[in-house]
This record gives sequence, structure tokens and C-alpha cells, in this order.
Amino acid sequence: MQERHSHSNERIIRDLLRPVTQTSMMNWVGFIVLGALVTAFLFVIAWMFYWGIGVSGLSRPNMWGFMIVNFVFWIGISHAGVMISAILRLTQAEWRRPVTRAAEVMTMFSLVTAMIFPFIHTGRPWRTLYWVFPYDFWRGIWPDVRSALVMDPSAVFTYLTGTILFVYVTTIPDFALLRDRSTGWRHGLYRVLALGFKGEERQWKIQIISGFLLAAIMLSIFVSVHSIVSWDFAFSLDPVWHSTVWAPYFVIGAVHSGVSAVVTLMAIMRWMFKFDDYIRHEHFDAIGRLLVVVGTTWMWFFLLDIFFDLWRQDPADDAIMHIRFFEWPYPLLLAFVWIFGYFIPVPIWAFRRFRRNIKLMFWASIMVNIGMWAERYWLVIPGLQAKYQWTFDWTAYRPGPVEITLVVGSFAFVGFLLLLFAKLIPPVPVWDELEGKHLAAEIQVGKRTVPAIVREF
Amino acid sequence: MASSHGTTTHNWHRPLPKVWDLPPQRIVADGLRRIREGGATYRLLLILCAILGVVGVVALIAGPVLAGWGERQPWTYVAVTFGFLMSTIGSAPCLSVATRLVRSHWRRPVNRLAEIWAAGMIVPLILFFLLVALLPNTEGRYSVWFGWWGAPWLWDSLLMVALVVCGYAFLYTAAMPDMAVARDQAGPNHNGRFARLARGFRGSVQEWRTIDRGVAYLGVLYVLLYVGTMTIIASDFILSLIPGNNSAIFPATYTVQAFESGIALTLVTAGIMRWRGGAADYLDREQFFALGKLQLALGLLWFYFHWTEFIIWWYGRTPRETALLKLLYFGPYFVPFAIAFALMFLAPLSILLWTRIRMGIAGPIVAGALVLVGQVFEQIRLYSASFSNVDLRLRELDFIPTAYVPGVWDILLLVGLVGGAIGLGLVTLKVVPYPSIWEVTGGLWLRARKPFYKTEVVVIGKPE
Repeated sequence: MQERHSHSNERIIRDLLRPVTQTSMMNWVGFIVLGALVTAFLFVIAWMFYWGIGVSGLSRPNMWGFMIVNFVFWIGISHAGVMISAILRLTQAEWRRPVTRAAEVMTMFSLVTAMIFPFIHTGRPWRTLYWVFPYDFWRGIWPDVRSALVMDPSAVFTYLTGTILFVYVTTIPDFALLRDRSTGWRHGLYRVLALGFKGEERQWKIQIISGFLLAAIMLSIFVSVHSIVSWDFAFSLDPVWHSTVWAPYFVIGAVHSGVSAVVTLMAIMRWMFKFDDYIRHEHFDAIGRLLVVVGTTWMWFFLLDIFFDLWRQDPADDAIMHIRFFEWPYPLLLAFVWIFGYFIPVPIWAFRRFRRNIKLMFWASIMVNIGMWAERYWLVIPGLQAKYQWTFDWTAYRPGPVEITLVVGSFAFVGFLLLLFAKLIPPVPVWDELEGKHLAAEIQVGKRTVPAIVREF
Repeated sequence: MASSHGTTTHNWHRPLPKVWDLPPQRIVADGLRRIREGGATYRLLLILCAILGVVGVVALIAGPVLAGWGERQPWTYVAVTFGFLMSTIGSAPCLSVATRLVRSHWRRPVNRLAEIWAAGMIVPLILFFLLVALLPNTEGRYSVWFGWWGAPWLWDSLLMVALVVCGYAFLYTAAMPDMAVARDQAGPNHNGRFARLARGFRGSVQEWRTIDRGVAYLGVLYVLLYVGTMTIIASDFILSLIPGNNSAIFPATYTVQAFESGIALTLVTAGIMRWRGGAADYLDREQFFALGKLQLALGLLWFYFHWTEFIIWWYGRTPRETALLKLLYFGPYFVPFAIAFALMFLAPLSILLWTRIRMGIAGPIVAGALVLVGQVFEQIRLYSASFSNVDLRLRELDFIPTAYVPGVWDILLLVGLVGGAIGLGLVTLKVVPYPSIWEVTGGLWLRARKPFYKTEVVVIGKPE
């Protein structure tokens, strides 16, 4: 049963603007802890730039370590925004309203974080400019546009541009609201960002149509981005990477981890900003049901990948599958993938009672992302470990403190940016919530009063 | 559109469907009409399907059965028919399950049309048993079974039987409340039959709870079994019969294109029911619009899955992959591929991309019909290519076999058996009421008209 509130418009606006207008003790603690971790993150990056990439655990043949795993992971998390926002907007799912903004913003920040990793992974990132503007083009060293490594940044930056535009368009009415309720520099900032939005009928029409159009465009970009990330690996002839299933497998895995991250964020927002009346049990219920389908589809693709890797019975494939199944730490990671990624959370989500238990949903979503991070490691790293023909060239990858700091720091970085964002823009869209209130109704079915919504055919 | 209240009612400037203004008595009467009397068109169709079914069986015996099980190639069109039926009538009930899970309201008059096709599943089951005998032992050849005991015959058969049984159970459970209505209201000639089928269903709270859960669990089980069965069919009947083809995405592609065809079949069925089946009040723009959106989405997925396979082989360019590209895309089966590409992707995209067309009724139906034709060619491409290879122990194709050209028996077999399966669906309409009385009347309770500023809108109850 839905637990709707019957607050006045003013109360809704006041509640949802609270994170922008007030800074609670939890906010400060968040800023300080995450800020410290981000400082460590930045320090480690500077350290690596100064001393070179040798300070990390990367060594031949394992030249794609934690940093590439992290890149794939954060690109995956970024898929939540479009999944939740665009698909649910286009299908007019009513439960989308309180979660869209957080999901879209998470997309934006996780994309930025994801792009940091290949950038710093080059060792001397300033030299990446040569790839874009090759000074020695007369020697024919133009980037090969057919390479996935060129398609990848193009796709990711298109996605980032689209996401920023999408977030911006869907935030304009809230900017107008903030403009009318702020003073000083904030007023000036919001006045510029609101683009003169006054809530006229024509403005609303343009805002809604552009939101829909952007959502439809973003859907195709969303699928292409993680497909292209998967092709970074699959276009090569490296054993186990060269697989036809990787594109949809990566996409569905990304949706699994991304939507789970949205659940984590929903729970944190509910606790931190006291949004109990807005992020309600029925929202967790709906997203839990979605996750059962997404998680099970992901497991199907995961099994397809494993079975068809084994099908080939190629010595090179078999060597890597042997590492994946029997050599430390890969069996442990595989256990994490199965247990945390599927066998604990999905049965939990199958029961309505558990889907409405926010603590359980929170921990289940955390588990999924531990499992999904392990999955990326399990997929990517062994592929290089036994890449070469001669076994004396095979070495195991041992991540050092630098990489561990980078992983922890990346989570802190995204968290810090989200917290900062919530100080500038309401994390739950105010206009969307007000629209939802207008479209909410009740009908009488026998003796029972049932919550209803205006049908948006 | 004039509402029952006498006011002009618009919902976002679109007319509201009639079904939600019908009195419950009318829905009961419409549901029982076909059970009481079939009508001339219905009888004519039934006779036509029965003739086609007989022709199909004769062609099956005269063609492949007399040729024996020694060679696979004469069985190509049996496999094509099997694949086509599995991808259409097998997948249609999945649409009903999916729309139930997301609790769409538009689904109520559509679900039964999708579920009823489960009744025809006996045809692909029989074809499966004829075809599974053609599969060689997995020893010494590449397959997904890795020498498991009884593979592939035992496990494939178990999955297939489980799927068909589950399909019938799902259809029966979802229809049970309507059979109780038929028992009580269809008339003395039908009492006995429906009393047995309704199994004493009286509509108590406990019984409704059991029906709700039964339909949900059986539906989910059906989808899981369907995906598993299609994965195994794709692997055992197509991939493992083409040396070097170990495309991990193919089972997913095969399943996704089956979902696309399931929606297409439901759209075409809905179109026919609206046109000649007296269901114009139930199947309106709302239903075709929603189904059209799904059809478009699945059409795009068709392209995505094929593209993903293609681009990996294209970039890989190993001799194994080049041979597969030649066999499946550019070589002897280029024409069926081009037709499938045009009808399963380009046609739905170019027709349904336009909201104005999607909002109409003819557009989605035409797109659905084209997808079904495309699916026939897709099955021809896949099974002709896989049933043409002799030595399955090769690591990769060493030569590209020539295209298999169907004979008269092949065509008669395909048309006849598909017609027979359609006939089974038609027979089921005499036992299972359309529209689903309990679902459509349930929808009436959850819909109401309310004033909204200067207009009147429909609101939908969301009890959960």
C-alpha cells in the first residue's frame, strides 16, 4: 500500500529545499571525512605523476589493473541515471519522481570519476593531448578512428554532455524556484541558471518536451557507451575477452550495479535529509522488483559468457579460465560475484516484506556493488595475466597501496561531489514532486479507498 | 468523445478508450458469446486451419519422415517451423507475464490474446521430439554440454516438456475464474464441461489469493523456462551444428527476437480480433499504442544484438569468423538475412518511430505482421545454415555449404503446421473466454473519471 503524504505545496518546497538551505551536523561530518579521503586520492594521483606509474602494482603483462577495473565500474554506475530517469520517464512510471535527480547527478559524477582513471593511467596524462592534436601528423600518427580506444572517449564524453544537458533541463524549474527564494550570490547564480523561467504554459511545454526528447536520445547513448567500453576488450583477439556477448553483458551489469547504487543513495538521502515522506517504502518496493529482473538477466549473461568461454576448448582460453576458477584470489572473487551479486540480494528482493525494509535494501545494494566490482576484476585482470604464449611471461597482478587508495578515494570523490551538489540543488526534484501531488487522486473500490493517479496516456 | 456523464472528456487531447465505460454485464456477455456460438467466420477459419493442419502432417510424413533420420538437411523446414512456432506462440505468453508484473492497466483486454497461444505449444513439442533424434552425441564435437550424461537429448526434452506443461498450466490458471463464470452463465449446454474445468471456483478471498499467486508464480516460471529452453535450442540446434560458431550472444539474440515476434503475434491477433472478432470496444488505441512502443523497443534490440555479434566477428577477422560472416551474413543466406533485417528492424523502426502512426491502430498491426514475416526468413536463414553441415567435429568451417532451396513439401509443411497451431488457438477460444472477464471487470473497478481543473480525466487506482 502506498504511504502518500498530504502536505501543502509550501511544506513540500520547504522540506525538499532543506538540504540547500540548512547544513546539518551529518553534512559536516560527511564533508570532513569524504574531504580527507579525496585529499588522499588527489595526493596519490600527484605522487604517481611525480614518480611515474611504477609506484603502482602495474607490471608487464598486467598493464590494466585496478584503474581500468575502476573505470569500467564507474561507467557501470553511471548507467543508473539514464536507466531510472529516461526509461521511467518515457514509461511514465509514477515512482520515478523522488529518485530521478539523484540518479542523474550520480551519472554525471561517476562519469567524471570514470574518466579520471584512463587519464591518470597513461602515466603522463598531459601527453594524451598528442593523441587528439598529433603534432607529428606528417608521420601518419593520427588516432585510428576505427579503434575502440578512440570510440570510447567519444562515447563517454557524448554521454557526459548529454547527461549534463539532461540534468540541466530537468532542473530549470527548480532553479527558478531557488532564484525566487534566495538572496545574494545564490540569487545571481540561480537567476542565470533559470534562464528566465517563469512557469508559463509555453515554458512548461518546452521543458517537458525537451526532457522527453533528451531522455529518448540518452537511451541510445546509454546503450552505446557501455557497449563501446566492452569493445575496448572484445575487439582485441585476447583470449576470453574476444566475446560477442560482452556488450549487452556489460550493459546489463552496469544497470544492475547502477540501479543498486541508486537504492544506496535513496536510503542515505532518506536518513540524512529526513525525506521519509518523499522517499517511501513503495519506492524501494518498485525499484526492488525492477532489480529482480535486472539481476536475473545479468546472471543469464554471466552464465552465457562462462559457458561459451569453456565451449571453445582453446588452450589459451582454458589457461585463463583455469586462473579464473582455481588460482588465488579469483575463486574468492567469483564467490563474491555469485553470493553478493546475485544469491543474497535477489532472493531478498523477491519478497515484498524485505523490499520494504530500507536497512535490508541498503545493505543488499551495497553487496551488489561489492559483487559487481569483483566481477569487473574477475573479467578484466586474468585476461592479461596469461595473455602471452610463453608461460614465463605470465605473472599475477598485485595491487599496491596506491591503487587501493585510488579505489577508496574514487568512492569518496563521488560522495563528496554529491554532497556538494545537494548544497546547491535540491536532491529530490521539487517541481516533479509537486506535479506528482497534482496528479495524485483517490478512488473508492467497495469499502476501500485506493490511491490513484491521473492516467497520462 | 462524449463520456457517460454527458461531458466532453479528453485525456491529453486523446479520446479515451470505450472499454472502461462498458457495464460489467456487457463484458460477461461478450466473454461468453464465442463460447455459446462461434459464428460463421470463426467456423470458416477453423475449417481452413484444420485443412492446413492435415496438409502439414501429410507433408511432414511425405517429406522428412520418409527420408528418415539419417541426414539432417531434409528436416530443415521442420526445424524452421519449430523455430518459428517457438519464437511466436511460445513467446506470446511472456508478454502477458511481463505486463502483469509491471501492473499495466492497458494489458487487461490484451493478456488473454497472448496467453491463448500457449494452447498451440503441443505442435512445436511434437516437432521437437522428431528433431531431437537428429542431434548427434556431444562427444568429440563442440557444444555447451561438455559430455554430460544424457546430453543433449534428455535435458533438452525435459526442458521442453516442462515449458509446454507450464504454458498449459499458466493458461488454465489464468482462465479459471472465467470458466467459473461460464459454468454459471453460459447456459445448460456448457454447464458440465465448465463445472469440471472451474474445479469448484466460487470466488472466495482465499481462492482469489490462490489464483493471483498461481498466475504470478506460473507466469514467472514460464518465462524462466522459456529463456532456458530458447538458450538450449539456440545452442543445440543452431550453434553446435555450425563448426566454429561459438557466439556467446546468440542464445540471447535468439530469445530477444522471439520476444519481438511474440509481441508481433499479439498485435496481429489483436488486430484480427478487433476487425472480425467483435472486440473493437476492448482493443483500442491505448492497447495498440502500448504494444507498438514495445514492438519498437524490441525491434531496436534486434538490431543491437545482431550488430554486437557482427562487429566482433568483423573486427576479429580470424578465419573462423570470416567463414561465419560468409555463411550467415554475406554468402548463401544473404537474401534471407536482408529480408529479416528489413522486416524485423527497418520496418518497425520506420513505421513506429512516428508517434502519430503509433497512436493509430493500423500502423502497429502492419509492423507486427511484417515482423512475423521477417521471423520466418530469419528462421530459414538460421536453420538452413545449421542443418547443411555434415562434419560437426571440425574446429571451424572449411567450406561454405550452398544454400538449401526448399521443395514443395517443405513449403506445405511450414504453412500447414503453422496453420494447425493457429487452429489450436482458435479451438481454445471456445473454452477460454475472450476478453478475460475477471481482468477487464477488475480494471473497471480501478478506473474512475474525475474532474481535473477545466476538464475530466481518467484516474487509475494503484492498490499496491
